[in-house]
Amino acid sequence: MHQENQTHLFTDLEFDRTAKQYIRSMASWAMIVVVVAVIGYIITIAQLFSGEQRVVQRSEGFDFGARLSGSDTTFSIIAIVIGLLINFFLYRFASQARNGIDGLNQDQLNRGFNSLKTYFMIMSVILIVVFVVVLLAAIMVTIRSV
Amino acid sequence: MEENQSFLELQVDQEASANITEASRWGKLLATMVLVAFGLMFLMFILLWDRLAEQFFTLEEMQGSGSDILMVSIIVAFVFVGAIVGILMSFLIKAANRIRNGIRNKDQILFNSGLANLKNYFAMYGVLGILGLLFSLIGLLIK
Repeated sequence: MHQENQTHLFTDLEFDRTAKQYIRSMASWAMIVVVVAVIGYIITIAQLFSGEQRVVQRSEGFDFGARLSGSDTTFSIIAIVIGLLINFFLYRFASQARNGIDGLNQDQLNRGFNSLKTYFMIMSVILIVVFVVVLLAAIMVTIRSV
Repeated sequence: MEENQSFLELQVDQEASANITEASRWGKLLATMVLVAFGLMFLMFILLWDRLAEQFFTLEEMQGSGSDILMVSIIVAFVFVGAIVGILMSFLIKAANRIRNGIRNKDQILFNSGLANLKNYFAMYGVLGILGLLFSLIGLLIK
């Protein structure tokens, strides 16, 4: 009792009933995001390995040249692997946060938020890399055309 | 460990507040970058439209109204997607700010409202994901 009172004196913030509800709901939605992403990856993999090649669309001067080449397949597989890695951390957040809240386990809840941090961190780093690559490509195209 | 599980209420302890603060910092960076990237993409599209049109249209088509109609429809699509992305990222930015300020000022209401915004972000992300998956499935069936 004494220990409990002492703790409340120093930590005013807690995961109260409202916060717990939000975290539960957040975890459920995060899990839905993971499931949807994984189904999407499965569909993409099925398309890649079914040997299906998109027909080149050519009409009224449009030529998108949408043909599946070897480099496209490699790029798709790399994107899927990165996507799976990102979603693994989101899955960990969803499951650990839910278990932490339901089982009143502080450690597990903390680990869940750590996974959420890693998820946002990986997403940000990947976006920075993509951003730099696209910027460099745009600069190259502009220089070449001048 | 024993101390952690001995209380009936879960606390925003030092480790939790450090993790949540870091998560909100990265989340805010991500949201800001997505918005900036989208804005730059739109700007690049407008600036490089003439060059893009050269790739897709013949000279006669470029002089006609075909390319103008396409440009307007792409701009409308950009605005529509931009509004959705803007709302989604505004949830994440609001969540990050409120959670961080809530922890800093030990304000339970602000902290909870930040969590509510984060929940809204994941809910909207989930709904958009489900819609995207449905559309891709419909596309597959039509093909």
